[in-house]
Amino acid sequence: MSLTDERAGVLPAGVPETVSGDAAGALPGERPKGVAGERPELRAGTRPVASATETRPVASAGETRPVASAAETRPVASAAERPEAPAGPASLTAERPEAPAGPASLTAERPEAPAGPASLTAERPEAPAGPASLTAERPEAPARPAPLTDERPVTLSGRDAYRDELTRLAASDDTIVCLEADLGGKGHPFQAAHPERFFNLGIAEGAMVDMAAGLAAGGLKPFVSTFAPFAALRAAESLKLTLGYLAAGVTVVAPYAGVSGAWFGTTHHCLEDLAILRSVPGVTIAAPYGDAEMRAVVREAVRSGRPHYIRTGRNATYESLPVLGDELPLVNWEFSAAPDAVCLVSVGEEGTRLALAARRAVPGTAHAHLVHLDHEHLTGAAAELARHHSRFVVVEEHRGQGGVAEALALLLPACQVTSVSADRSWPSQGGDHEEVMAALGLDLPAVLDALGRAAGRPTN
Amino acid sequence: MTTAVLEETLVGDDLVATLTERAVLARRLVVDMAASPRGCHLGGSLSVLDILIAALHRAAGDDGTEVVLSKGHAAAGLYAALHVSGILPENPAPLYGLAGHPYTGHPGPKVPGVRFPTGSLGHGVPYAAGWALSQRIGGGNGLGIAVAGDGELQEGLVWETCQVAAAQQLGNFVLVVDRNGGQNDGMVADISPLPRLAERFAAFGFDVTEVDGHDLGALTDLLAEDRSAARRPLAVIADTVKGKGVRAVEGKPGCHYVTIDEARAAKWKRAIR
Repeated sequence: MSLTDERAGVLPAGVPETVSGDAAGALPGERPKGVAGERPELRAGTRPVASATETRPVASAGETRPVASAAETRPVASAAERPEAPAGPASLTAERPEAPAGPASLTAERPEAPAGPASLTAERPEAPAGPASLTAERPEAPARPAPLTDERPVTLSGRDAYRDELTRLAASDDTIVCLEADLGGKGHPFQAAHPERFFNLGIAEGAMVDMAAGLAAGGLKPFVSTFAPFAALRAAESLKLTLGYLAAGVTVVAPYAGVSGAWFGTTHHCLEDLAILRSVPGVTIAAPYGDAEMRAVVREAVRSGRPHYIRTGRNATYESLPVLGDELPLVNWEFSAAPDAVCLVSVGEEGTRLALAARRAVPGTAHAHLVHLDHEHLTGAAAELARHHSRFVVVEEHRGQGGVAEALALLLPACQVTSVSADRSWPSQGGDHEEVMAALGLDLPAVLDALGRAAGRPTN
Repeated sequence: MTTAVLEETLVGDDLVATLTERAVLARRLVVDMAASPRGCHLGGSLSVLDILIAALHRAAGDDGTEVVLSKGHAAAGLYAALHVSGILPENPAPLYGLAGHPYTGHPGPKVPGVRFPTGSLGHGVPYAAGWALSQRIGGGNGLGIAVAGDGELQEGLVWETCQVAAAQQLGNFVLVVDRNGGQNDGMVADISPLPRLAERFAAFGFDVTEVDGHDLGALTDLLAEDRSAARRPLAVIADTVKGKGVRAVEGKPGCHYVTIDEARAAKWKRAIR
């Protein structure tokens, strides 16, 4: 079902994709080891939603919980790299020297961008960035050898981190088997390291998931991977039966979630997978942000033997938020503010990227990052969220319907939960990932606008 | 009711006689289930019974063989076959379709001897293929046996799996087709026929055998094969009669789903030999 050209975009280890915008500079080697005190304040007042109370100084000790203190070093470092950057959507876009001409100029054309995804979409002309130039940036790379040790000099994309971690784990667990359906099997490190347990079944997603049920019944731990639209939608019934009813120890790893397929178009997008999987009881759903989180989720899937659905993007690389210990927390507080502050809740790679950017723009905002999105985890996370805040803006690269904001709203009837999501829009234009997201109303201006609304401020 | 005979000691005529006895008992149980308030998928349960009994005999050898009834609507036939084969201790017939009991109209893993939920057609084929692959990885001799209906072959997932099984050289995967010619709305030949079926499987890279699906001797011989060294999956096209064993309905597509009263059930059961 999928064209072969997508596989040309699979990067080998050591060649992290250049990520535009806020994630640029996220490569560990380039990142200064910032500390909390180093953060220069972003200027307030240049942006409608900013107010004096939001631009409070760097969090005081009392406001910053232990996890957050470590996390503070991340956005600080990024901000420090751009000390001249004034706050505000237009200028943030202008900061990206590597961004194609399209989005920057588009943003500049609507400095007073009104709120709402619909209007943003309507105003957006064709995105100019074409596949040819993007493809040229990612020449096909030869197969890479599997790392032999824990040394990981680079941050890998979600799907490459999955492949690498699973390959490592399989060295000490001979029940792990790896299945692909023609969209990731080429040059797979698992095949190089464990060829007898690697199976590229071809373009057969339904058969792959069902066969994984058979493998699990036979005592094995199958990990299957194909693009999110084909895993979650084409094979939906198989997931219901295998992950749900059978509760088989099968892990589905689904790259290309959301609109990370960008210019590949509508069939390759998946804005519905959380709605589907969240409605299947017993499935652990994770949307890790960055290399370390993906590896932690994969380890947990192997260890637990429970059914997992792991959502990730395409080739973007992010450095995960730090956590204390080996276990991922229910809520990772990147920054906790006063109880009356609006709290961003970030979901997935791009939701987290946007939330981090928004929090840099509005420093008084709290930010809670969620990795696990199934009902059981969200129930616990919601209780923790409500102990600290009462107004939440969820940022998720998914439809509003069936998404995390909807779930939190049900779990937190006494709280205010709003959402920045793809809502009901259909992605129908080309462009890079950020451009396609922006066309759906998923961009920094939309998040800042939602923050302003949640804070009760008039919006432009 | 159940036969507690050690399967390994059964050979030749003794084996066929024992399995024939099981089939008679199982058919009567299926008629009992048709006489339940819910009724049951009678025709397909009766057509597939001999296949199931022969396959379960192979599985009883405890070599890692798994039998998956992919045409899950024949649940009554499966429950009866599991019971007479000694795998399901309790008699499922009086409990069929009742609240508090797992004997639903399509089978699920709450039933002893059933690993996979089937009934949404097509899925049992890849379940069995995955099982076969697990046996191969583990170095075992077990088969993954899927029992599908001929109408079920209209599902794309079946052929998707055949493609995979052939490509993976799953020689220990066996797909038995219960070719009774009927489906829910009528005859397969009228709705979406399957011409040159054996050639189709052969073209996919399967070994193919056609057999009388009610010949327990032939079926057990076929399924006794050691396929641990085989490189091609095996398709067994078993010609069967819908409603087999109950003269009043044999060969009639209308017996796909039947609800009868107890008097009729008693009459039918007496006639089953």
